[in-house]
Amino acid sequence: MLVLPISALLSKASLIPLAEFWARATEPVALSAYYVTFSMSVVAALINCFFGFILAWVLVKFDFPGKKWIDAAVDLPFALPTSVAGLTLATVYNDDGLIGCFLTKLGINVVFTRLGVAVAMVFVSFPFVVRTMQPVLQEMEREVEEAAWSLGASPWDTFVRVLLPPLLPPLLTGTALAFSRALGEFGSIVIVSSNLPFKDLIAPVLIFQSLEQYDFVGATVIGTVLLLISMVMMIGVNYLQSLGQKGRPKA
Amino acid sequence: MPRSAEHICEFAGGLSESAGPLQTADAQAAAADERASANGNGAGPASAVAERPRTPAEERQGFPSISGSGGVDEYEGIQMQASQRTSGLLVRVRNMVKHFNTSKGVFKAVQGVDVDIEPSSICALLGPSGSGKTTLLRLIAGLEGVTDGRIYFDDLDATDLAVQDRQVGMVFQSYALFNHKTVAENVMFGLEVRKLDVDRRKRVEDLLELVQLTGLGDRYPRQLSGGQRQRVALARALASNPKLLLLDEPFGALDAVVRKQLRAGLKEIVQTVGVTTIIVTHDQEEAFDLADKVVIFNRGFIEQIGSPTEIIRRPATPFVMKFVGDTNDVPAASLLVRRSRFLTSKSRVMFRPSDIQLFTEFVESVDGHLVTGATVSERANLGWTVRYTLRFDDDVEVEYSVTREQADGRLGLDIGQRIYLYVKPEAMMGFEPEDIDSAPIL
Ligand SMILES: Nc1ncnc2c1ncn2[C@@H]1O[C@H](COP(=O)(O)OP(=O)(O)OP(=O)(O)O)[C@@H](O)[C@H]1O
Ligand SMILES: [Mg+2]
Repeated sequence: MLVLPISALLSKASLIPLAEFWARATEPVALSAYYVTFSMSVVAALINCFFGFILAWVLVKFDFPGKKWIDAAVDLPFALPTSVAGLTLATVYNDDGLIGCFLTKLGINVVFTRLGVAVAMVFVSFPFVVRTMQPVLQEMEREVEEAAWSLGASPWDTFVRVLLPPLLPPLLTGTALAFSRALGEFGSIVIVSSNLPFKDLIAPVLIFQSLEQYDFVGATVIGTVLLLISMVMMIGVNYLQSLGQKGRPKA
Repeated sequence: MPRSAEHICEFAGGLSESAGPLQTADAQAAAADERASANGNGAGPASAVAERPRTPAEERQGFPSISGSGGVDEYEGIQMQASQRTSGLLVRVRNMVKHFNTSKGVFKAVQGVDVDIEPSSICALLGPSGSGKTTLLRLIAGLEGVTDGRIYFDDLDATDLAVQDRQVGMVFQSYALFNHKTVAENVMFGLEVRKLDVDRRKRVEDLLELVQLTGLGDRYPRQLSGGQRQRVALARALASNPKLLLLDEPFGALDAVVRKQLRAGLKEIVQTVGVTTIIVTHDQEEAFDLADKVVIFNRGFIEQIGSPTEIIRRPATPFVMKFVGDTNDVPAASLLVRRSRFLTSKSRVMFRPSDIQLFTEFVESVDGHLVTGATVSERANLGWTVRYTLRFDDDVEVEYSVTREQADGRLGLDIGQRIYLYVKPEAMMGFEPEDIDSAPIL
């Protein structure tokens, strides 16, 4: 299931002479597209990491009216077709949209900019961090926190030295998942961004545009590059995680 | 509620103190401190043994007034030098009330509790589930805010002190170890966050030796057995030399054999360190074995405070009587009670099966006690004991147990056999069914 399409893509790519591959892969348009894709994915992942952590914390540790609704709404980006998400975002952030009209006054444009790309990425990958953190937070005993206090640790010390360390591996996992989701996003971004090269064109859209012009070679090359970079990053994340686990017993 | 004699004594003492020899008491204490620091050497739990704990009486004399002088300013922090530590804390809980606001309304978990715990003594909080033991412990630790009442540590009003400032060591039922830290790091945590100026590695080694875990410092909690984890939790709690150690069912999750071992170990350790210890348990054997003073709880009230012997010998209330041993429970109007000439206004009467004096031959009376006839109606085989059910002529039944050896020998009874017995009226206690109820009051 997984290996077949990947190897198909790679075998197709291997038919392309190396010099041509390199030339196509490093075309300025392509380079800029990679850059936009990865930089915005990183931004989106970081935003998700931060706010997803906070939301998961709040949802687990506090009780407030409407909590159930918020908890359910977290999954919305998963349930929504991405094109619908894109449409919604485009509407909301439009110059005369619900949020857009305020931002425009502040001189901030979201739709048809890189910012829009990032916003769309944040939206579609938001559930990952929240959903990976929630069970871990739920498992955390309140008594561990209390034990730290009774040993003289301030709330801040307790958070940094006792609560946070066991939370880092799942946080990293959630963030990595969110990152790869953001990397692969197409449907909503194609609607929210202007898809102009060097501006807010992302690599997946570039592939789509190449295909539209029957440029199968270009599409294959860019696809292969994306694939390789993603794989390297996933391996990197796994390595980081194994570092975090190091010295810890496998229980 | 029953009040132990000590309360009354102390109250009387408190009255005379206010005018009394305040100066002298302070001077005495200061002199004692000087002597102590003159011969004291180095830190470490073992050197605390040499200290003679200040007696409760001395401590009390040092109390000018209950709410007076004790301010947060006087709090002197953790004493790492054993020579400067006088002993464990004197803990006094006054009129403690704790209500929880729940969705169903206010729940009264602790309803006006007074208890004194002498320095360097072990006090056990004993009672049925939901009686408020853990809640009281958490109040003393500062993990719950009080609804009403005060807590004093020596002469300091600790009621509003933060958990971090109470210098208590706490051991939770679940141990609450930091799983991402090694055993040594767990024990060291308190020293690090309190920034104590000691040789931390040495201190950790000492503590691990104290709890007999030498060499396991590099393990992670997951790699330890339950009993070992429990001891890590104890070492961690003792690391910064607390004056008060609080244990919430520390052996709750362990099997009987390990419990007994650890119990003996715990007693030795806390006596070595000289820390005042409060232990919550619902294992009576544990409470009576460990504690100098046992506090029996029910429904957020104290039923009795006393030494283990006092509580066993002289239960103050029907609840305690029922709680700390086997009882027979008969109507006050029954044949047995009337013939025993036990007078009570209550509707029921209880006594211990072991207080039954039984005869197989008919006698009218023995030592002035009228004897009542009964028939053996049942025999239950409980391993090392045999339990007989005896039915009186008014169909009231009681239970009577003998050891297997006795049952096989002289005291063997047959079903249907006629027997004669009496119970001394002193051994009986009248009560109403609600007196012994332990269901929480909502
Ligand atoms: N945070 C809380 N909110 C509401 N009710 C609580 C809270 N903590 C304790 N209670 C209630 O207070 C009562 C006393 O609880 P506590 O934990 O002190 O009992 P316990 O004597 O320790 O019982 P056990 O032997 O089962 O541990 C219980 O009925 C409990 O439901
Ligand atoms: Mg409890």
